[in-house]
Amino acid sequence: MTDTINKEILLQIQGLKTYFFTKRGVVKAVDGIDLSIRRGEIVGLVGESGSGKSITSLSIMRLVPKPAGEIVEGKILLYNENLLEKSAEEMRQIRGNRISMILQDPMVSLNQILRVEYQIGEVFRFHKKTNGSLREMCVNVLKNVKVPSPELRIRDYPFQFSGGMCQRVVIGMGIANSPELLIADEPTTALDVTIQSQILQLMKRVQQETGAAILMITHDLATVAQICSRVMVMYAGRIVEKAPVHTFYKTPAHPYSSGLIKSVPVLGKKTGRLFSIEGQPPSLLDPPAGCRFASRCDQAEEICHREYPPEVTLDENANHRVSCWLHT
Amino acid sequence: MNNQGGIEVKDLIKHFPVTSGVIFSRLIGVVKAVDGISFSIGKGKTFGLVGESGCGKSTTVNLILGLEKPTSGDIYIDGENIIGLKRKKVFDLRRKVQAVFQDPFRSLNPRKKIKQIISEPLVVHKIGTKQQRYERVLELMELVGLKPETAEHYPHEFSGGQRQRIAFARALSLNPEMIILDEPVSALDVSIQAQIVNLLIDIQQKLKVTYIVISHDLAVVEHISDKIGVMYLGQLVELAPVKDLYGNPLHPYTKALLASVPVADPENIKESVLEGEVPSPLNPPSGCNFHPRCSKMKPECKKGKKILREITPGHFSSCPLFT
Repeated sequence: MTDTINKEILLQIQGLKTYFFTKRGVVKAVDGIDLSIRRGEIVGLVGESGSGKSITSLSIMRLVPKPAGEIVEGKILLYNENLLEKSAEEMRQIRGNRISMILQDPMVSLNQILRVEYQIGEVFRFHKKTNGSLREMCVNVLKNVKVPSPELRIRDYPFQFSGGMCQRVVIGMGIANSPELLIADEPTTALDVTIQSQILQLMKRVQQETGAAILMITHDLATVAQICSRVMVMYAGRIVEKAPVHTFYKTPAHPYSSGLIKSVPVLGKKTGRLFSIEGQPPSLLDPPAGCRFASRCDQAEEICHREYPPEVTLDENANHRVSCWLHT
Repeated sequence: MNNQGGIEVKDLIKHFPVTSGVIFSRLIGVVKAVDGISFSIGKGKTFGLVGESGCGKSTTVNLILGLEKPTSGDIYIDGENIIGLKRKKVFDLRRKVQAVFQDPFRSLNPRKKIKQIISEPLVVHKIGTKQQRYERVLELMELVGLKPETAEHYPHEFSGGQRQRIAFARALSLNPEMIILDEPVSALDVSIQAQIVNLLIDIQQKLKVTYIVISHDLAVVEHISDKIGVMYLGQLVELAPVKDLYGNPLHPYTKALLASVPVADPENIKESVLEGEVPSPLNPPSGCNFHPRCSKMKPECKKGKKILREITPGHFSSCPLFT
């Protein structure tokens, strides 16, 4: 782990709060999170739907849906520049260039009635990076992500591609301008198992070749185990645990993390009933004062319901941190 | 057919014609969505059907539900052939076979209250008085782990997992012999997935209902199934009791599928073993459908139709390399 520790910090989020102002009240989707991503590492952000992981990524891109959503507090530093202080025009220069994003459903993120060539070309045209023939650059993008016969496929429309091939095109577009950070929001959820593993391998290779850091947002613990080097677990708008991937699966510190790991069915080990965490995540309209997991936690004590636990460092070298009263 | 409460599918075939041209339409091909599959499962057991998208899993289910007419073949439910039944009979059949679909956000009518949603099958089949139906709704809600006081709420007030419970309660309302579960947990979060899988297991033990589960998640299927069929391009390539299939897969496709499942263990990094994608069912490869992607391909794999053969007792595979 030591080699990743010394690497420079690429992106740092400090005390980020993104709220949604609705008729029924303020939804605290992201409620004070700190995280950092070093250059060239693959970090997993794991959480259930509604835990705020996608809103975190949209906050980094400054694409939080307006007018309801607003980043109310915090800093998002790309090296030393605070992205929250950038103008709209400056942000446009960063998106798709220094930070790019891959979404869950490739069929939705590509425009079905424009040729793939046009859509890939847009990445270069917008950032005025056309050196040489635009077509050649587009063909290269497809070659990079191993789409067979790219010279021909470039003239096709997205509906002529399969789901896996579409996702390859989207990944190709994401890395076309060699971004420093690639945010992948559930990139394999919509795909078949065999295609999933192909895409994960592709992403790993892309990371090694381009040196881009990847923030992998997913609810699938298997995806994280397969390609990430560090894991962050999000629950009800807060990050509850940060750990290197091996530590996380061997000795998870937060009861939520260990519950999640235990509830994944293991192939080849039929046990009948599965372990499950009972109950539902709390409403973010009015989150409890104490630990947000306390109502579902079987080890909860009185203090857990009263006060939110501070972040404790379990292992300084490995950068293993947890927010849980059991560890204070 | 004396398969009490179970189901038997025999040589089921569904071909979809593909036509071209608007006025002078002509046949340009046939998509063999389901191309001769046979399987059976007894009462109170679970049959799992796995395969990649486009392999014909959903068409098979639609045929069993009577939503599509097969090109040929027979389906026996509770000993009765359901192919070619009169409309009135098909209507009665629906009391026996119910379904739960993948996306709980689309399968519930957002403008109806939960009690209306769950009691709708009872209304359609004219069962009970209003009061009796309401009591049945409350009983079902308790059975699937929903609070009875939420009967007056609308679907949008529930989370994905709870909605799947509502859909499940609706499917149970007619006391069916069989429930077809089309990707029942793949739209749900991990912690909720486990809750629903446990619910499915508990209900089956209590009510002795037969399940047919379709899923691409091999780990989930393993947990709830007794017998599993692996489908590839409209055909079953392997059929075996769950233990044999996972412990000793015989078909190279099954092996590849099992090998490519990502595992939640960083010590066990999987390399993708299966290159390429499923070929178009409009123009399937000759011989064994799987031969273009198979690592153990021999010349004889390209010729002749490959059918399921019993390799060891109860364990069928269509791979020609086993004799």
